[in-house]
Amino acid sequence: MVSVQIISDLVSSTREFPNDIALSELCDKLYTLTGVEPVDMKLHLTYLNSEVKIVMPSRMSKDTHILSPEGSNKIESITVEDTNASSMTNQLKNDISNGTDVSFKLSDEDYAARSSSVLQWKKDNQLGRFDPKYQAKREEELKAQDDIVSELVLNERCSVNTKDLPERRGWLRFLGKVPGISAEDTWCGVEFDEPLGKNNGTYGGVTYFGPVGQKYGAFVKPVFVKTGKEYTPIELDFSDSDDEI
Amino acid sequence: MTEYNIGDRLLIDDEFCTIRYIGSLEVWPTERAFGVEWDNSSRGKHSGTFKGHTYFQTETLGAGSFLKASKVKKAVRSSFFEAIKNTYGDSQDDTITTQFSSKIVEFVGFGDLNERNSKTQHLETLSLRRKNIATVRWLNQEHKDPYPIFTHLRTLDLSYNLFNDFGDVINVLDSMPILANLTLDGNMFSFPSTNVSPHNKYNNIRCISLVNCHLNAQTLNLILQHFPRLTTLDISENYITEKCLETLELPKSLKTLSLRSSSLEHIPLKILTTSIEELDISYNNITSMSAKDYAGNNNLNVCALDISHNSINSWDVLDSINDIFRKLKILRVNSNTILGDDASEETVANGSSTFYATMARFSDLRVLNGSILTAELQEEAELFFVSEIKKGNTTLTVHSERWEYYKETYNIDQIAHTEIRNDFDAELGGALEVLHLTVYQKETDIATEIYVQPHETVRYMKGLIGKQMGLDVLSMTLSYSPSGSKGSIEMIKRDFSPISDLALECGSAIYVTDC
Amino acid sequence: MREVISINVGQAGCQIGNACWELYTREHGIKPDGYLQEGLSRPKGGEEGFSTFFYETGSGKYVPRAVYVDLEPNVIDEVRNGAYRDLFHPEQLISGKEDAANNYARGHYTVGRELLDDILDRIRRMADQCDGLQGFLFTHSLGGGTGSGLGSLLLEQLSIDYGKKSKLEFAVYPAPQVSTSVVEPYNTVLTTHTTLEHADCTFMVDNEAIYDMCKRNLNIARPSFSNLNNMIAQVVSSVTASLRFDGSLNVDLNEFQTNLVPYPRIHFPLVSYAPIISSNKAHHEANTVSEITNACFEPGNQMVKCDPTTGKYMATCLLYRGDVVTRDVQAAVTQVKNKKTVQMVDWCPTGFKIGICYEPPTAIPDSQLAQVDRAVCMLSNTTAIADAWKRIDAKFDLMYAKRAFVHWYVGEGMEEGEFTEAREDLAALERDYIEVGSDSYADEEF
Repeated sequence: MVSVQIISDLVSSTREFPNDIALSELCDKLYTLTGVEPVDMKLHLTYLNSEVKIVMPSRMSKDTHILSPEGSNKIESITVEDTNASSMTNQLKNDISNGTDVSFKLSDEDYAARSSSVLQWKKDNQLGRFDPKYQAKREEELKAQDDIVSELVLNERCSVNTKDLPERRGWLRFLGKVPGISAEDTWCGVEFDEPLGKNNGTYGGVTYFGPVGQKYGAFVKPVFVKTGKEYTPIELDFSDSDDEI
Repeated sequence: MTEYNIGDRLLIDDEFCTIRYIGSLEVWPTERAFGVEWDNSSRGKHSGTFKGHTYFQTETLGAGSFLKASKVKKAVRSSFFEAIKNTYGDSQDDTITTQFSSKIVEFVGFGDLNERNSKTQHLETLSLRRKNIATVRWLNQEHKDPYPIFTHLRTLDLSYNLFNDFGDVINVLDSMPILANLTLDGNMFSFPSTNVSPHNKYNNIRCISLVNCHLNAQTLNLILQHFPRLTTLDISENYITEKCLETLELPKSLKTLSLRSSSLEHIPLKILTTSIEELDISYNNITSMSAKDYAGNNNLNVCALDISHNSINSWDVLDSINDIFRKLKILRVNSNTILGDDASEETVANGSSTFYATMARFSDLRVLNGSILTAELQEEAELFFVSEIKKGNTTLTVHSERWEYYKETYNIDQIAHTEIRNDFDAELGGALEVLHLTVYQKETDIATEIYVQPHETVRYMKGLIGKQMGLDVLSMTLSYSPSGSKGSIEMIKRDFSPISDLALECGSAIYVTDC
Repeated sequence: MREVISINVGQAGCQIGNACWELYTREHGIKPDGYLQEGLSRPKGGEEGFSTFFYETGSGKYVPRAVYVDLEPNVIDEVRNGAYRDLFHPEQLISGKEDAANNYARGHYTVGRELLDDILDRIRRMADQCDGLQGFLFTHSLGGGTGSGLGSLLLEQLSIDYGKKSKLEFAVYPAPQVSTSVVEPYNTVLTTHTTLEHADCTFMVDNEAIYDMCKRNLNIARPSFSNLNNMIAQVVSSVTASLRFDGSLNVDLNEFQTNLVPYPRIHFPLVSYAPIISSNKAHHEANTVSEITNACFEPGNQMVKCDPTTGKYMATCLLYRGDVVTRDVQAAVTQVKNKKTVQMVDWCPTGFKIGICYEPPTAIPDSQLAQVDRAVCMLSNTTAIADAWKRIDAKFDLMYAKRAFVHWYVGEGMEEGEFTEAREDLAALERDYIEVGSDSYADEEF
């Protein structure tokens, strides 16, 4: 057996073949692997010493053994070129490079009509938004959020007090929706004075403020944020500094 | 632990340091001052000299600073037993709950884990890395219990603590009858133990790791004498230079030896006993074998060699590695000058041929640079290599084992090759020089002759003299008459400097005195 | 007794099986010939533990409860002639003569079906040796012909023959960048559709992610399939450790489903593993509980490439192995909470669980993985893994729009309608993930 890397426009794979495999049989295997029809194949055989040899199977005897070592030089890879411009693999290749959108879309109705789906499960078990309590709680939270947001001043100093962490301070740089996190909530984009945040002002590939230094930014729920000039940077305790010389 | 001594180790603001001075400083009239040397020298402010007065001298320039006693006292120092109790014994605190959104993190089976861990004497593994352990003694006066016996303990990790006396570690080993693996990385054993009998042997201990412990050969020998049945030893990142290796006494049972980052320039063949099967000498400056050790060392049993990240720049070195290490199965040679490419940079195109060419130079590898090889792959590599040789793209050392093999197997009459000179000049980078010296012992008028090479150390020469004249290396002094000095006699003082530092030439006389 | 039968299907499945059984035998103190290592009187892991995966013959030999299946003989011949040839009974190794030519339909309908009765018969005999069979553990690839076609056929059949017994899968998912065959997207979509209702929990492994780990973390310049499979075996071993040794979480196959799968279709947890450190620089890495826990939330330690920070977690299980203390785990989890973005779906019945198995991992000698005192494996059901389905669905669409190579499948007796049916099912699966991620209370900070 000889292990050869097979490369085509659509495929890259390392496969093993018997050394004495006949050309026709090899081409059949390459066909199921790459989708290139044997009549259209142009094979670039790359040897370990970087030599390249080109083989046109359509013009050669079916029984040629192209994989058996020639002058003790070993084949490293076979690049399968498709010489037929209108072949299936070339069409696919063009579609990929043109970014052709042929994606299958499942309509809302069709999804809703499926008997086993997460949507159906949520409905059946009153989960998430199908839970009556959820909606009430959610509306309450959003209303409270709006009240807090109206008191916040953008680009002002701020203080952040989340549950498990000591107070952090910084600047309120952004106030608004971050769809990547949740559709309805309002978020406070904070640039901290120290790298105590979670990102640089970017979430889910969208930059909402900054970008600031890595870990200097975070999106915080308004309920934990207060703005005001009095929230100056927290002085680090430097009283220790004179006990070392 | 309130007493501080010179040499004590401290961890302050996550940086390790050693106390070098305890006393007073004029600028701090009300407090004691501690002069320390930081392991991380860039953390220091000076070398022990303040306002023109030298209070202490750091080993590394600029690594020192003075600390107020109040700051030093804040640094935690704990004892071995305290650390065990704090780490494993007191896990009953289940009050902390962590929540992700509305989900409370559920710990399943941790009650059993706590109970299991609280029986510290029955644990098989104790990991006490970075626990500020300065000693094994009881620190709290109320505890005067005898040491508990750790009947099940097999693996103990004491790395990056504050030990400075190896005797302290030795003392606790008596309570660990089946301990097999001991990790002591990052402790600075700068003071050879004085309070332990060298006759204490710990036959149960098989693996010791002493990475980055500021060890020299002398301290290391003192440590190793306690562990005669050691099979695995890691002494990477220490002060073990090539010269030190000559005095190193490795346990006869040793199978695995690691000497990463030790500034070696040669493969240390001389220290390889027949028991050693795995050798890691990566991250050194190795360009070649030490020529004088090459001959006669043909019963080596090394089957795994890591020589990656070195400076090998000739294929001949790889050929001689194959010849010398006949049982080699696992090899790492990546990131050497000759191979050029780091693992991350290796491109498939030129990387393949280098990889195959390297593989083909070895008789029987199972793993190369981490890649598991198959028999087919090796056969392919041989075919490729033969074609490269035939084309003159590469060379193979003549009369090497592989040269004979290829000649025979592939019927190649004319292999392009490099002639390797029998006297190994190539590896020494110049004409091989051997000094023929005559040694006279003043007291007895006995004379003998020795042959040494200029790059060997004075200590090595002393060893030779000692052997031939029956003298103790440590009690002899040497003197000689430097060439061109018209007969004046000079003492040879520095034991570990190379002989080439001395103005000796062939036929020079060495005078030895036994004191 | 709670026995588990392992079924390795196709080239990738069998090769991963080999690496797993090499590791399992080492972990339990069994030699390649099936007998105990010197100095042991019983296999390691306790009677209950090791007997889930091994049975004992009258002569004191231990045999894996495993079946190897491949349509072509090469890979299984390697088992028959390899170092572990005496470990297995010849009956456990089943190979045909004609390969599946990368075609799901050949594996599922024509070539594969010819072997089916024989395979089911051997599995039946294996099952008859069990006192309380709890289920099956499949290893196969989704992209290859045998792995996808025959693998899904067997899963279907076992559902019929063994009813509600648990079926877990380790599945090699096609690498994002390169395809190993032109019809890989078809095979993947078809097999996923067929098995969606039969498999209880599927752990996916993407060879590209594993390849990167070998290069980056293990410093292997040219990772071979053996290197990749050794790495995968280490992960599989971590997932199955609590079945084979005393553990506290996922000690039964069906617990995987209870803890990780809120709704049967959403059964593809993302697996992360730490530490992945090389044996030749083990001492440079501290390998503390805090470090390995954090590493599990890094993309470089994930078995499938996706970005969990933008997704939501339905369930997370952290499975520690070896020497850990509760306080360190608590501190590490708090640290993760404060430093990483982990958003849980709060209305889901599943949650965040942490378990422990006292047995530390074992390293396969040539694997380059360091022997360590502790490790952690994270199984997390995150919506981010839907990215994997999106990628493969898009590839499928490009081809199916032109009906490219569909005739290969029709030629093996498959109906074209199966393509549309399968694609619709996967579209619904993508929608399921979106639906799972919606209407959650958001966390306080991102």
